[in-house]
Amino acid sequence: MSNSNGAPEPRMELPERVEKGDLLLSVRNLRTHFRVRDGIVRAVDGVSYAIERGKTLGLVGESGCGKSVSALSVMRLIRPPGDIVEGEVMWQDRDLRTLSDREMRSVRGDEISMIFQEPMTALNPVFTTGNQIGEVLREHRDFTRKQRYERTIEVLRLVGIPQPEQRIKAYPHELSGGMRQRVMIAMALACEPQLLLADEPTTALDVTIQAQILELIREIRARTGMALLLITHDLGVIAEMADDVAVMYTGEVVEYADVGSLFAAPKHPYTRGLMTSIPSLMTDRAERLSTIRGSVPHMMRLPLGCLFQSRCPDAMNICRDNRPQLQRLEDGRTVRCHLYPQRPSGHDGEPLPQARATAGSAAS
Amino acid sequence: MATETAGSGNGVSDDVLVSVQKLTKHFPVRGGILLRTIGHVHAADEVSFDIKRGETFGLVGESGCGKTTVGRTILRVYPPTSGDIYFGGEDVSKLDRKVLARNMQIIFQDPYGSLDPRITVGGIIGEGLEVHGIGSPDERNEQIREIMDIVGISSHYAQRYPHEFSGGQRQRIGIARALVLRPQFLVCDEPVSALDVSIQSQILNLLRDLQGEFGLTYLFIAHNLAVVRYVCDRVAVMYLGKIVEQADTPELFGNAIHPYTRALMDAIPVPDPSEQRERLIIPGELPSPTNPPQGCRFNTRCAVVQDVCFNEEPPLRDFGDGHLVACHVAEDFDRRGTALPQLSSEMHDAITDSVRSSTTD
Repeated sequence: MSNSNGAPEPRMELPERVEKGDLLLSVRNLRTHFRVRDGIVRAVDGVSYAIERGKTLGLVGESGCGKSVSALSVMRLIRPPGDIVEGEVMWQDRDLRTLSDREMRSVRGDEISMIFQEPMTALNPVFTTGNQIGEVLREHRDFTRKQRYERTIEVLRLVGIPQPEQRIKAYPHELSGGMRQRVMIAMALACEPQLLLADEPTTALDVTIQAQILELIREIRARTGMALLLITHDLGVIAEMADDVAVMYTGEVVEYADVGSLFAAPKHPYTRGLMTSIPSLMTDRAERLSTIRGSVPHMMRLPLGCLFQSRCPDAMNICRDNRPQLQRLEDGRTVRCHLYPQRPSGHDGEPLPQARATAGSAAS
Repeated sequence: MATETAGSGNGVSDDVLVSVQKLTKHFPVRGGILLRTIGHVHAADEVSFDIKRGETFGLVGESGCGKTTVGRTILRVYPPTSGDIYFGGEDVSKLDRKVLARNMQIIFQDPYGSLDPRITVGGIIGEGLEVHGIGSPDERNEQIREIMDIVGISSHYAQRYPHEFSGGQRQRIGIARALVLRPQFLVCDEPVSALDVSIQSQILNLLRDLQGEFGLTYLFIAHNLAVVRYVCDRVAVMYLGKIVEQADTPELFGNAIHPYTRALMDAIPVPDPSEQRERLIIPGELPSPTNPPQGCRFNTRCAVVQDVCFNEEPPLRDFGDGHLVACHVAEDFDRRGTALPQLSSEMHDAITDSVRSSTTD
């Protein structure tokens, strides 16, 4: 139901400032679908985002919103039944989708690295930490054995592992969760990537260890000028780490802004709901928590119009049948919602105050 | 109501529903070919607290601190190594298991793993009624329908199976299962941490509504301090099997004294990008609970550690109005807003080394 008859107008998916920035990675209209027995799961459906050199983009959303799949797509780590069906992944001046497997391997782990929530998915249990970091170096650098050893010790020290000369001989199971996370980060940083994709890097960790790992990532970022794509569901982590934020819901970006504007004035009802429903240390204990009603719709039974309509407190009649487009607002940020005037080409996009009063009818 | 001691003469006052007294739970660690006991995990050591009727008492701490063990030992999932638990003034170890189960129930963290996939939702919820021989089948079905409506799951779904429900709905089913016997006391073990953020607040509101409706008493076990602050009336902070600080919620969050509590609060990322704070990041990791440090158990990571902390275990002391703190140097920090010095990683290494050499002596 997308009305794609509009001429290629100036691109409006990205916030104005990002569009004009010095872009290291630029993902445009990415669609990654999974063909399963009962149909197609559109895990990532027309997602665009970009990261400026040395900057951090936060990707927020709940499980199943497509944030991890979008990062795996950038790395071309999607396996059948998944497939990148459309879109462009510009890395500096190359489209990563057009590279050969061999060329892609030389980018992966060298120019772009990725870390995961569960370090055991990235670490091989039968090799020592030294072996695994050495492997990355063997792949990407013409180092002698001695140079490899020295660099391995160096990165282990960089990520704060005490006695790296000992730990280099340790197997993953001999390390604590926080130490494994550090080893995985060391592996990702061995070749000094220009971009690190971090998928929920601290979610499985205790808060005191999370604070250590975030501090470590911050330090490395400051020291090396590395850019970061930080995927998380934790708005607190986003607020502390990100420059820009893209909020995702059911495979789409619903709001995209710099971190200050987003937290000062969230525009999309989903973003607002997320921010007000989570108790923080400032929440009034006497008040009931505000909630987002219902739950995320089934990915194979998505509604025709706005994907958030059944849970939205502001749903209008127009939301039922018309999928909103990402719109750039006056301050340059973008939002996908009929509450905000749609592109001038459309004539029926004005939010009607009387329509809001009948919001209840759109639900259930 | 006068504070009259309960009949059994154990000093538990009437407004206390659950009293935990010097609860210790050690788990044996087995090794070698003969699987002989080679050590013990000190999951909980001399933990004491009272939970008043109708309140929510929080137990917070990081993984491995013993909070779940305490909750499960109260429910007699495990027998305690030593110590006593009183429920309504009666010694739990002398109560019949069925009586216990009708009065104390638990909801679990994982709404996926805690429901039997082969039994219908109605069967899961009604199992307790059946085991306890409550009512006729028709009456049981009526009770199942009633509790499903109360927790917000349409009773039309009683014949469906758990996999047909989302995480939030499954947690509601778990709550219905726990409440169908109309217990007085509910242990909530990380009830929202496995749920998506937009669902967590629904469940927290539900727990609050149910408490009002049924006069429930909760033991709320969680690692998320913001959630604990919102839900609980009083909170105890655990570290390596010990309570290190305990107070009314506003007091604890307004005037935390123990260096660990303060570090824990500092570590929570604040969802406000305009706030750039100096945070106290504690170095190192949780020491092994099989061989906890001598003296204060936090001494390997503490920014204000003194000699005495390596020799003597600090007792819980009352700093007024039931604000209990187990720290030798707490007096120096019992001032609102006093910043704690940051422990540098060199200092931390030095401490760890000295601890290591002192334990190998």
